[in-house]
Amino acid sequence: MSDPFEPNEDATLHEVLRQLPPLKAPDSLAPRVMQAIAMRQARLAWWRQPAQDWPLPARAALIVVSLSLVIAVFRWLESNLNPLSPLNSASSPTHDLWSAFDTVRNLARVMTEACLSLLRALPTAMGWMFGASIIAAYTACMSVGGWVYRQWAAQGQEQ
Amino acid sequence: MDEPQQFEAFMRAYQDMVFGTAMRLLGDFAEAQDIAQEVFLKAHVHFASLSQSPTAGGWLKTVSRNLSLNHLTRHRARWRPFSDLARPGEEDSDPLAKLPAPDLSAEHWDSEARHGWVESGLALLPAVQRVPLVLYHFEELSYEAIAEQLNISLSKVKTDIHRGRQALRRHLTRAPLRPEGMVPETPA
Repeated sequence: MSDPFEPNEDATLHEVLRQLPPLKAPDSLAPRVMQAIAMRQARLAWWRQPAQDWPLPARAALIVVSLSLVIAVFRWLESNLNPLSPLNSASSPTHDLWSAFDTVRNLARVMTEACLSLLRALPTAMGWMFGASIIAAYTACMSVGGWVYRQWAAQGQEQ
Repeated sequence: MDEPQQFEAFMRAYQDMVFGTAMRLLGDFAEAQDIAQEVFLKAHVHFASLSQSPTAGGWLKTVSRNLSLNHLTRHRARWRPFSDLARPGEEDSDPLAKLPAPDLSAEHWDSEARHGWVESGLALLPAVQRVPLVLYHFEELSYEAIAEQLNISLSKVKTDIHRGRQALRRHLTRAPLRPEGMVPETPA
């Protein structure tokens, strides 16, 4: 830092200023900040906070509802879409739905087999590169998505 | 240690630096406390990344400095933009001269009292002089960086710092035991 004005005097002043000890923050600062954080978090409705910060009954209810939903969906699929189920006849709408599901499944199987054949036909090095590029693209998408979510969440917290 | 405890420990590690930066720029205890609180609220939002970062101190210092400067330009009634020209004679008036010299005998004039005297002199400088002076001597910014930060010309930065130093030097030479190397100014 060069100084065009009175170099000796200003160097002394600089030294005097630099020798000043760091100013001490008041003891009340940390409790005050923690209180402000608590107030800010309290202002957010509980359902807008992360699920791990929800009240215990709400968390328990969430788990019970989620599990019930999953079990109900599986039971419904089993009882209504299975063509072997005695409840289903060949002409029922559920039978048509099951046929459509079967078609999609067959299509997925054919596409998977085609992809596997293509991969087998590729040279090994190229296959590795293809795999690496898929993983890189996936990681990039997840990172960008995560960053966007964090920005959004940070903005929500600042409001 | 859970998250709030971790954040409190993090805050206690940096609170003097954050508060000190704001206090020297603003020259006002209550305002510096408000700014320090605001800095740590921002830090809390980014705590997940800050707690792992080796440059957390630099981040906090920069945020503290920027918030203090924003506060000065936006919220303070007595503050006018740096680019404004001072009214004739205003910059030459010496606010430090109004501060009574400490009534301390030499043996009681310890380093703490001396530091307090320097700090009080700094706080009493008009913001137009104190801010560039603090940015130069404490934040170690170059004249060019200060001019850019405050959006004023380079020559104005130099003039303001020069006047601030003169005023502070006058203040220091009034101390019962002036710092070594400080000689009273001789009238021109």
